[in-house]
Amino acid sequence: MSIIQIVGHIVVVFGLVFIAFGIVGIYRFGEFFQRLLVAAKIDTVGTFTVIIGMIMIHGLSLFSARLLLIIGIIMFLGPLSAHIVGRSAYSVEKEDDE
Amino acid sequence: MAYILVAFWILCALPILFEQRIRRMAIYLGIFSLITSIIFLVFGAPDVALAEAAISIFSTIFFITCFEKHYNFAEGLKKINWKKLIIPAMFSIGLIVMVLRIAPHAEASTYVMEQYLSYFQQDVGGDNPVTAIYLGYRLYDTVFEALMLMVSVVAISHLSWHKEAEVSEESRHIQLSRHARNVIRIVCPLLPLFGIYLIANGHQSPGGGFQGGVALAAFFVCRYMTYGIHDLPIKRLLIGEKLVLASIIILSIFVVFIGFHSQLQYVPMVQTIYLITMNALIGIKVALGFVMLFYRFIVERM
Repeated sequence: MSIIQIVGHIVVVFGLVFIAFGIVGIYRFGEFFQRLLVAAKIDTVGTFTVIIGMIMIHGLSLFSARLLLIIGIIMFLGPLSAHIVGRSAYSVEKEDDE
Repeated sequence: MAYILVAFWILCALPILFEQRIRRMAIYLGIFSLITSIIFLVFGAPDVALAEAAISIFSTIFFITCFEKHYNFAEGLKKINWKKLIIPAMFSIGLIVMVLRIAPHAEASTYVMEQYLSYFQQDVGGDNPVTAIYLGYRLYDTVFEALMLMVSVVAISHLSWHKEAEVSEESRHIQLSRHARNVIRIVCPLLPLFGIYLIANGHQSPGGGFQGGVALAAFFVCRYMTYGIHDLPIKRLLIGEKLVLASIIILSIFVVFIGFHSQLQYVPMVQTIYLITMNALIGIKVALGFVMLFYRFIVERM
């Protein structure tokens, strides 16, 4: 096992730690928007770190190219879904207040 | 051992039929489920046994809670003759001891898995064992799953019946921001491509009819969210879904009762055509079902 692969395993573990903290955060935070923030963190930061670690483990191959594509799609669409959910929740709340 | 258990199982089913008091009926049902799970354990299916035990616990608690809500259970609890409960309690403890004695010795039988994994390429074809299982070995399960989806779609569309012939105003209130709409506009044309890819390559790579159908349905959802187009006729979608389900059933009957007894089954070309056709039909059915559900909630017209 080369040094890059060992670093890759460590990075995967870091990503899992991020995801675990995110799950704890979903239950610790009380308000909807705080929870949404933490859930979006799991989507982007956690998944991003895990996939980067897997690319380091596998080296340069077709598999890594697919993983890069998946990273691109997640970076593109993950924040968008959180944005849509948060925006619609905000507008519904504002309507209720009026 | 197993036959004694089965006899006991049938004996435990009888009190459910002849019991008049509804709470006891629920308790008997729980005991019956417990014995069912022990039988599963003895016959070497620990996963099914675990599921059965969980379901029995949940359903018993659920029934008891319902009766409590309905009949004011707390007052009845005071009138209970506690001496009568000694025999059922001993019975339950005995059953638990039996489970604990059997459980460490039960082994999962995996010969079916090994057989599937080593023979699926010549039996059903394709390179994806999941597709081989749900379109070959377990075709009945797939047909019933498609039927369940169909029944739930019909139920939702009939339960959420509204008489207004207008587009509902509620769904118009929440507008997307400009950025979200632009990004969805970019993603939107890729979705049908992705769905067709999943359906057409379902027999050799991860994917298949159900997943591809959901991707196809997401295309129509995105189209509504960005452009506000909702022009598909719901009634025709429902009829089309029924027709596709009928063709799935006819094709599977044809394959199971005619194809599996001839040599045609082992020709790779025929296998590939069959898998792609079946995946495409399932994909169309799932897409129609989900589009119908979505339209049912945004457009209150039937």
